Amino acid sequence: MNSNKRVPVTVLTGFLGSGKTTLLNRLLTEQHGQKIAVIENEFGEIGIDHHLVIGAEEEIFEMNNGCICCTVRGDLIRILGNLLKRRDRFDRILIETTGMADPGPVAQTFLVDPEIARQTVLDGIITVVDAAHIRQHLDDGSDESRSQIAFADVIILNKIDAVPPDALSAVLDRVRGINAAAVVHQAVRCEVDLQALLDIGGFDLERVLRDRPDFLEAERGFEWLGVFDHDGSHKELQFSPGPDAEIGVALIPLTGTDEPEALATAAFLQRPTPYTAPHLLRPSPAPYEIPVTNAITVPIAAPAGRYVLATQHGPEEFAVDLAAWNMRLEQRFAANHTHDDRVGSVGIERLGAVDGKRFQAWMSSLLQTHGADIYRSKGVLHVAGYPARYVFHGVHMLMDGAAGAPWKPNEERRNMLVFIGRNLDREALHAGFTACLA
Amino acid sequence: MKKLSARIQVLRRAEVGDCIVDVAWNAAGTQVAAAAVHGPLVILAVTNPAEPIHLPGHAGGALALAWTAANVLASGGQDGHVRWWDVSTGALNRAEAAGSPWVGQLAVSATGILASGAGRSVRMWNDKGELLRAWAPRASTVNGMQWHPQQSILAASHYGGISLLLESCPADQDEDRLLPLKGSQLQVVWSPTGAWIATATQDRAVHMWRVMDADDCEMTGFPEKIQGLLWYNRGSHLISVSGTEVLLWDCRGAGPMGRSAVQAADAEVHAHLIQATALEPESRWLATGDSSGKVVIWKLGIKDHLTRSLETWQAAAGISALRWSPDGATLAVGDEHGQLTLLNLVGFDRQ
Repeated sequence: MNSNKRVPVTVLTGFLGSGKTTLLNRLLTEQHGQKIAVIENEFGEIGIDHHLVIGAEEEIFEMNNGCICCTVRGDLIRILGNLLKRRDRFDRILIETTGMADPGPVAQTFLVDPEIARQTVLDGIITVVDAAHIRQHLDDGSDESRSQIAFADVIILNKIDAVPPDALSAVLDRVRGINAAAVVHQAVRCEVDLQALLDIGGFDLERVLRDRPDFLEAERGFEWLGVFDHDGSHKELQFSPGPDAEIGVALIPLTGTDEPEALATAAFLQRPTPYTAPHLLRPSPAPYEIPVTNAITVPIAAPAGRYVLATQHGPEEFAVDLAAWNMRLEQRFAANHTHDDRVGSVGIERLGAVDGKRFQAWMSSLLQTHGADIYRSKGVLHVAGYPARYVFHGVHMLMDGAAGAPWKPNEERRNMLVFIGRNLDREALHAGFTACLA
Repeated sequence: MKKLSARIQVLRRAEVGDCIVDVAWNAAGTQVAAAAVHGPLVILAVTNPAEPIHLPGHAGGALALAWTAANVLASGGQDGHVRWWDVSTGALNRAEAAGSPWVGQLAVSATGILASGAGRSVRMWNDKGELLRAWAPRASTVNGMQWHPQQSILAASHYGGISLLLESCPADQDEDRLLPLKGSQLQVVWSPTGAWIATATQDRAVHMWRVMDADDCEMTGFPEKIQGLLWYNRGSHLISVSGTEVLLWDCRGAGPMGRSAVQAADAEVHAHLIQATALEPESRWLATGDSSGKVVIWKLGIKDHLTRSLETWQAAAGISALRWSPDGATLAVGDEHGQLTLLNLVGFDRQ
């Protein structure tokens, strides 16, 4: 090995006709200061200046390691092994997949093979999407286009000039509905700043959030809030069994210019307090978790004043009657765990320290049981007793983690996780992670 | 470990420009060839003071070497061709397409048949470079090939198992036996008597078959992929090299089943990943080379089932290829910066 630095690898996916080849040609011909070794999905004729171009024939292998969904690209193991002997000839590796390819085996190759894992790092997966045709592909039930979108760190929504503006926003919603964590660039002829594509840091969730600070907002932990004036008289909440065995409820004093939604969002970032009857529910910066396996009455105790009441699910789902509360304001927030594609994202954001052992146990059991459905997982954690961030990313059942940047003094130590996959159980993921908090 | 470095002498050196991917000796042990990852080849005479011969090799990169006659070197590379070179003149005798752009494997049988593995294609050639037979494509790219030590049976490893290809069967009926095994099979080695066949797998295991009845067993739990897999002492033991570790598996009698491996003494001698391994033809010494450029010569002995390191030598770059001369007197060392070094071992056989 000529150097200890791991070579960054970019994976380029996209349907035939999406504009993937246009982007590849731009990367090979335009000035961006990096020498690229390209592994193409066929033996091509592009022998460009200082770049290396190698043809590959897709060979998908099942690993024999007891992990049912663990498939890798055997040809890549061989080609990368050879390429890494010439690593002073290039700065990064770009792998182009075939139009119909599932990006899973390519991504897993970088986690499974020790030689490759040691010498390379998967910087990001770029998926080029044809804005004019993607909805039709998805409606036709194309698993390939769904998984290409789901796996992406960066999505180039290409050919937007061929789509009317109102239809474009529907396309964007559809893409975001599948993968809420990817950075989306809208483009014509793949005209995107190449620099942004050559240093993605896709496993770095904090960086993704810097680009899209609203991403986890869509994952607020409540679906309803109401603002009411409390005169100090007796109030209670009566819950009947609903779609879940419990419901999170926050009661927060509202003062001055506070935004009710911001207060509720902050509250639902906190670890919920388990509620047991017949205790009084008092105003608190954190929500209560109220068990509703049977009908339950929760008495409220709060001094007179103005309050925000926020609930994890719509109150009507648990037949809560709030008519007598004279709400000054009611707001509903879209339940973010239902959309028309079975592939979607779940984000989790929580303050508090994570118990490292419990987290490892939870993740390994989660990936063992649901890894086939979880395309990607990423996270930044504040692990108890650990001075730096713990950054991880996973592909199906495989996971790679390392120490990230140290926490600064007084920095808010926030845990952030995202899961992208099929039939994800948002509540179970939230509950599972919450149980890992120390 | 005794410090006797005077007994390793640098005999000759040659430069080939970039990481050496393969090294091969001619049968007489008078010349050694090296192939560089970017394509060129170099040929160095052991005792003759003449300048090394440089050959253009393969556009896109060289991958494999094999001597097919005293003066003829065959090479394979990423240009999809097997090339036969006359090493006395440097002329290209012949170039033949091998069935895929990636000619990664070459092996010569005891009777002089050259087999090429290119992608999924296996082809066999006579000593003139004429095609003898082209086999039906394997299940996937051939990762390893070795001829039976006495017979014209080629073992080719790939995803799904090991193909055993009998060269002498009639042309209209491919004698094609598969030892099936789930997963991707990397290198394959026959035991010296042909009684056993062993493969190193992508899943970091070693799998062994008794050829007679295909009874098999597997050794697992290696921390890294197997770098070297070598049969020692007429097949009494199998040596596996993985990570920084050298292990001996006792294959006498019923085989290694139920026996634990013996770790070499001086196990800490390599602090870095072993990247190349070679066993001296008479099984007297093992050579290993690591990513820091350290080469270790091991004394092998089955007495107490122990192996110990005998001598070390330091190269300027990580070791990428090692080959012993047929008489075991000279070790050819290829490194990641393209330096080919011939080391002479003096007085080792008195150990």
